[in-house]
Amino acid sequence: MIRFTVRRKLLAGFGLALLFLAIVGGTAYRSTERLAATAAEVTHSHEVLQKLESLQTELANSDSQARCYVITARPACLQAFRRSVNLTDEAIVSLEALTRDNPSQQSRLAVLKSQLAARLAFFDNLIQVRDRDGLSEAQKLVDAGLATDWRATITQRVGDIRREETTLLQRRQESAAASTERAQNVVLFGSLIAFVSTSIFAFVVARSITVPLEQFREFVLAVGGGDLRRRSKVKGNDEISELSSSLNRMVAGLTELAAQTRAVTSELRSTTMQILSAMQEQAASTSEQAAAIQETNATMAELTQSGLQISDRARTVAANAESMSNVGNTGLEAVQNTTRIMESIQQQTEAVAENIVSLSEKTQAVGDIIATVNDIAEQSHLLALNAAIEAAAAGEYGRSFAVVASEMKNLADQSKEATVQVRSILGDIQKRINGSVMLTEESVKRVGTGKQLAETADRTIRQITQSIQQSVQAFQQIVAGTNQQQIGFEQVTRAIKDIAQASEQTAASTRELERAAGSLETLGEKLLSAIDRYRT
Amino acid sequence: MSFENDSQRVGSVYLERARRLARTPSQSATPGLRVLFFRVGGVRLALDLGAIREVQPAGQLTRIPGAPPPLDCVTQVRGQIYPLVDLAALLKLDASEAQPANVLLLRRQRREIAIQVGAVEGVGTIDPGLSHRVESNEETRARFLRRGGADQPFELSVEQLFSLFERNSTDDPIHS
Repeated sequence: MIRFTVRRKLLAGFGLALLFLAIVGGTAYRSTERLAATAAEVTHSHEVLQKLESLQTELANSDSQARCYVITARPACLQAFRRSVNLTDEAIVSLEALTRDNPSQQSRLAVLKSQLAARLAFFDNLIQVRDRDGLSEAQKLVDAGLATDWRATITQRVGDIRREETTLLQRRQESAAASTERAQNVVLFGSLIAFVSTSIFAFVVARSITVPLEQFREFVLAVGGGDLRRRSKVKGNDEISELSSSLNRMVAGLTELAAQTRAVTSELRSTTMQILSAMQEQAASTSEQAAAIQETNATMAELTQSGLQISDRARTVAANAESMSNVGNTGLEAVQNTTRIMESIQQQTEAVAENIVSLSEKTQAVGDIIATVNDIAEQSHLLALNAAIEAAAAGEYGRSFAVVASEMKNLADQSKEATVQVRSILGDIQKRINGSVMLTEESVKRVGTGKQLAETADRTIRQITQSIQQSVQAFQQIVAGTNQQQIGFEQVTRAIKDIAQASEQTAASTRELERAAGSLETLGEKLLSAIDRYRT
Repeated sequence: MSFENDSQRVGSVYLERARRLARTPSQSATPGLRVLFFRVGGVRLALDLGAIREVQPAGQLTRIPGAPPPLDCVTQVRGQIYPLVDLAALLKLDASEAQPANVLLLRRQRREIAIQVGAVEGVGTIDPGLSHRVESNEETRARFLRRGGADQPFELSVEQLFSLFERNSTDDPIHS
């Protein structure tokens, strides 16, 4: 069973119209072609007739010119005669060419051609007679009547040819008129039939398309107005029915989509609110981040400045450490000299200590002697007191003895005082010797300690020198590291500037996002209100 | 102190000694009571030179069992036993002062005793009229110190010292 789809309907309608148009066009073309051929034949007949008229004219003209020459013997007449003869020949040639398809006319032209040749021979003879014998002899030939016979015969032949050609012309004109009428009829009736049949078919096809389209329009307007409960009722098995089914499925899908969109829009609105809140928080965080980045940038600038100062200080310290290394070497030599000197000092101090100990022993012996002297002084003192007592007991007689006793007492006191002073001095000397011994011992110990310390200092200075050299290397590494750190600081500074720019861009983007979130919320509200238009 | 200064000082001492010896005895005699100056427990005391028989360094002291202080020791000088009075203990003076100990042998009316003193300074005179009475809260000091005070040394009473040995042994010789 053939399925009449819209495409096939349209193809059939336009095909039928084209068929009628082809039939009418072909018929008109054939009629026109036939009419053109008939017109060409008519024109051909007119040309033949025209050539016949020219032939008759030139025949008459050549007769006149031949008579003129015979009579007047003027050369101009002879030239005109020759020219007319040539034109006559040309006309005969043209007529032969024009009537090549007509054998009867060809035979007539052959007879005419022979008669013309005889006529031309007569005139040539006449002209020769005139030239040779004069007018009278030529008059005789003319009077003989030969020229008249030839003229009548030729005129009769030309008349035959004209009549034949006129008959052909009439017949061809009639044929052309018939062809014209037939073409007009074909165009008229063919167009009428094509118009009617095409109109009927177009009406049928248009109705089969426009009626469902009208239903579709109402259906689509209803759906466009938000009534998603409507369904298309177009039936059939063409594209429109398929479109109806597709539209019903689409509306069903739109119904589901509207429900889902409503739910999604509600969720989108709440999400948008959350996004808006998050955007506001992010904007605040971005501002804080920008402030922190500015602080970090300032801190990095300070760090960079500090790094420069550290680098300068490290260079200075490295130079100082290098000079310290040199000083350490000098100090090492000095310590070695000190060690040697300390050894000699130790030897000398030990010798001094021995001398002091010997001196102390001698001082101790002197102290013993002084103690003895002191005892003697004490006893002398007491003896003097007792003498004074005895002198007092002797009264006036012991006065002189009392003076002696007093002097003895004074001497004893002075001796005692001297011994006290000597003892004090000896004690002081002893103390100082003891102190010197102790100091010497201490000096020996300290010299030993100093020697050890010098050795320790030697080792320490060696270690310090080594450490300083290591420190020099370390400071050089620190300088290099500080330079790299400086480069790193600069890179970090640039990165922080980039981050700052990014932060500013982020802040701008956040503001844009905030506005977009606001717009999204507005859009959500609009979408929700738009979705509410649809009744599901 | 230098030895040069000491020689100068010794020279000056000898010069003073020569001048003093050049004076007549009447010129050198000073009116007043001749006494012996000594120290006990940091206090300068004086004792009548007439009562003193001899000064000796403090020898070995022998404690008498059952005797009350300050009369609880005896000493011997050249084989003779002397009862000994510890003045520091008697006058309740500070006996911890490190001073060379001496013994004064006293004699009165053929009775001899010894008193233990500190450093003996020498012989001198005191003016009895210019001396002050001893005013002390201690009854013992007021009894045994006759006069003294201010810038003057205290004079020890010889009679009161000998009176310590004139009482019965059962009586309190100090607080009677």
